[in-house]
Amino acid sequence: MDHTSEEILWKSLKEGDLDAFSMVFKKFYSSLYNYGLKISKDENLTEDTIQDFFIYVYEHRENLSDLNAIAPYLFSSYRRFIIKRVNKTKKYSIIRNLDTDIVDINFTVEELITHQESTTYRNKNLTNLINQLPKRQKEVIFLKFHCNLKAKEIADTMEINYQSVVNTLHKAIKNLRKEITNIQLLNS
Amino acid sequence: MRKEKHNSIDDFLNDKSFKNWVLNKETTDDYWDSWVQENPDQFDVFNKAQHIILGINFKNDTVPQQKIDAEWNKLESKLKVIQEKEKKTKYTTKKRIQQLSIAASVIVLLSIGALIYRQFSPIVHKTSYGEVLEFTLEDGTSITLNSNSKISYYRNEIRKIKLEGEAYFNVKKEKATNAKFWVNTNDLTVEVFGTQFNVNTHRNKTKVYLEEGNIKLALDNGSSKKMIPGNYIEYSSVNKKIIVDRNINSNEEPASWKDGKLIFDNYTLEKALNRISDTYGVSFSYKDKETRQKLITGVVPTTDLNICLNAIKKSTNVNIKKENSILVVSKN
Repeated sequence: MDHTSEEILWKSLKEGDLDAFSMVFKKFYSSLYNYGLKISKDENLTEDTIQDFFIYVYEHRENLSDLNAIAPYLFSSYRRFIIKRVNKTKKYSIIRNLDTDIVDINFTVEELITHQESTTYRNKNLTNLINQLPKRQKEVIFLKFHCNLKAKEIADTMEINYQSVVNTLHKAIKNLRKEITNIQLLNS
Repeated sequence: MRKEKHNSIDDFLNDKSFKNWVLNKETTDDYWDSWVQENPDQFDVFNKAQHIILGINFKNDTVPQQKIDAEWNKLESKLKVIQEKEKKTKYTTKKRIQQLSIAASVIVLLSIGALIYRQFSPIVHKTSYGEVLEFTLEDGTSITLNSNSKISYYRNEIRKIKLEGEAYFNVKKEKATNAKFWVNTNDLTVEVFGTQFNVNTHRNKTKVYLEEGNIKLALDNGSSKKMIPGNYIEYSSVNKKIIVDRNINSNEEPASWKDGKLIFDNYTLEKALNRISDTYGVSFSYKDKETRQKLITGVVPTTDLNICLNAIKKSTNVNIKKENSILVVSKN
């Protein structure tokens, strides 16, 4: 879907067209669900928040600004939405985490695509490796490789600037590269 | 964009076509296959880049289409409920605005009506028994209204007053316009220029006493009567004639009520008690005929019935007893 059609789709959505809502919902459901699950670690809560989030969007559709790309808006608003919800469920904890601290994405071995050449051992190590990265780097990696967002879109979603996304990605890959080299040496 | 020179891992990682080639096993593009054969010295870097891309690629854990459709159906029905509600509120706000505008116009009409009514309805001052009211009209005329009395006038004609009961007028003379002042009773109209006088309409006749200045009475039998200070006139529209026309000596003071007292100067008991009955709103009955004719001279208050009755009992040597809300007068 190119920008013009996303622009038109967004306009119809703003007018309350349920077909437009259906298209946006179905297109982004999977990514939003995975992202939400990573943040909340709770399947039911994630499902509920996506429902409530789209209802929220519908009810406030007249106040939405015009967009030519939908993904950054959806991811950033949904991120705020679910963080608020997670905070609420954690209301009994004494210290409330700040927005950015609450997002702590961790990966499982199964999530990494198994390559013919790679072994379970390598995947395990790689998973550990990624999980040891700072929270922010992990979120950037998730949005980059899992949700296929561009650096600019990641910046908008996480409310950080473009340069720090690029830097974080670079740092993360550099860290991984070092480790991968080691793993490869062990395997060979 | 295919860079011709790839010297570092970053060069490979930043190359989209390289990334696509690594990820897509079924690609027919053999550019990178030939590239690596042409650049054997770069193989290590090439291999590492390939592994990084494969290594940090995630299983695309998509939610099954069925699940997404079910979730959408759930959302769609909720959105439709909201849509209905929105339509309703829009409708009701429209209706509400209509109702409000109707209410507003009714209020406007009512207030206009009230204004007109105020303009054309009389202003009324009223007293009950034992109450005396003093007030000043806009033209400066002061009026003292005795108990159980009522005056009324229209806003646009404040110098034309209708009286029922008793009132004392001190009419301000309007030198500039020489405007007259009228007091209307059932029996006659008092026409004045500026003076002080008392008018009493109790007992189906009008009694006028002029203290100062001069006035003219327009009687309802068509004739008129000029009065000079000290004149006291009683007229009844029932008899169509002047019943009493005399001068009042200074002891009597028919307008003494406005100072809180009633002065009886050689009155019969009946006349005195009539006066008290008009002031206090009580009724008297007589057991013996001769007590009516007893004479009384003295002053009684207009504000305390007990003191008043005790004074009368003592000075006339009669007994006054309350029987079924009627005061019965009998010989002692």
